[in-house]
Amino acid sequence: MIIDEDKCVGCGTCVPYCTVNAISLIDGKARIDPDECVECYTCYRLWVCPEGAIKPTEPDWPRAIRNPFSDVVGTHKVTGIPGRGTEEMKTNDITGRYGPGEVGFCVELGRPGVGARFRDAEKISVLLAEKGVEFEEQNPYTALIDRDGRLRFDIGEERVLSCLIEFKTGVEKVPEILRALKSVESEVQTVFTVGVISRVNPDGTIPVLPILEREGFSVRPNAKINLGLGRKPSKEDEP
Amino acid sequence: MTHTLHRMGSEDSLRNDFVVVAIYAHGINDNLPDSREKMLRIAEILKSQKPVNIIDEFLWNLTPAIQAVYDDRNKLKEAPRLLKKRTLEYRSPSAA
Repeated sequence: MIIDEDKCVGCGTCVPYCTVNAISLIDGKARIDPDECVECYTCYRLWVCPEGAIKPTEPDWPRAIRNPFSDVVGTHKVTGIPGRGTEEMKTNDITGRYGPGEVGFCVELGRPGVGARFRDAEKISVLLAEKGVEFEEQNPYTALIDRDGRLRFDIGEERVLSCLIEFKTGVEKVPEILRALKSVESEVQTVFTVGVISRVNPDGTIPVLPILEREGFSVRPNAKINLGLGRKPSKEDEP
Repeated sequence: MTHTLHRMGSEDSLRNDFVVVAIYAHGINDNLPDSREKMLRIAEILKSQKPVNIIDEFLWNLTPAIQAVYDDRNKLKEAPRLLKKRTLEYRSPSAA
């Protein structure tokens, strides 16, 4: 994203719209710090500039990787859904992505106002690869790393609004994974949250809850619950 | 994405904040001839239960997911009950 200095009148209207505080007024003109800008297009899409001075660019690689991980209304070409991750458990009744005895994880780095750089995601994915987790194939970040969890491209310094690492493992490995995530916490230069996914037991209990409590994690009340209303299409559904 | 319409607040205040999401399983049931029609019917059902927030109607025809937020446990119970009752009458996208 760029600001046409000739058109900018320095009103500052655009400044609070930036999701990562990359716009500031300098010498009476709004300027975008290109290193901080995550190319989310929010300032452009909302048409906040009364002079039309904000213009999108078509950045070259590797900067081009920023927009797909930052534009919250864009639908990702890999996953087909909005957002940086997959449908994870939301369609598990159809996909069967998480089976009995399996536990899924979503580690999300960065939030609006904070952002994340891929170098920090790499610190976590390398650690997870060492633990033998199964990275989610349809996740956009998975496409960027090798089997050792290392970035396959020189994008470590690229900044995005958020980046999701999705993977699954056996329930017996959950404590080990949680401890690994805690161990890397101080090395990651942004915020990250951990989501844990599991099937509910036939008696209604959730197998990972006691594990999380034992490992010292508090659980937010905003859990996602797949109601199981979906079903796989049958032959008669085919076009 | 699930939290797109979530309101901000303390842990306690969010205890009565419920998001319902209906979403296609990408590559499985998102490209059937009547997928969109079914999703629109689900959106109407969710809207009929008077959510405190729901995805803008102009997006219903574009988005792969419909989200609605309820602040009342009874409405929350009724929405899936209606979904289950009516979606059993036709082939439904997945709902979470």
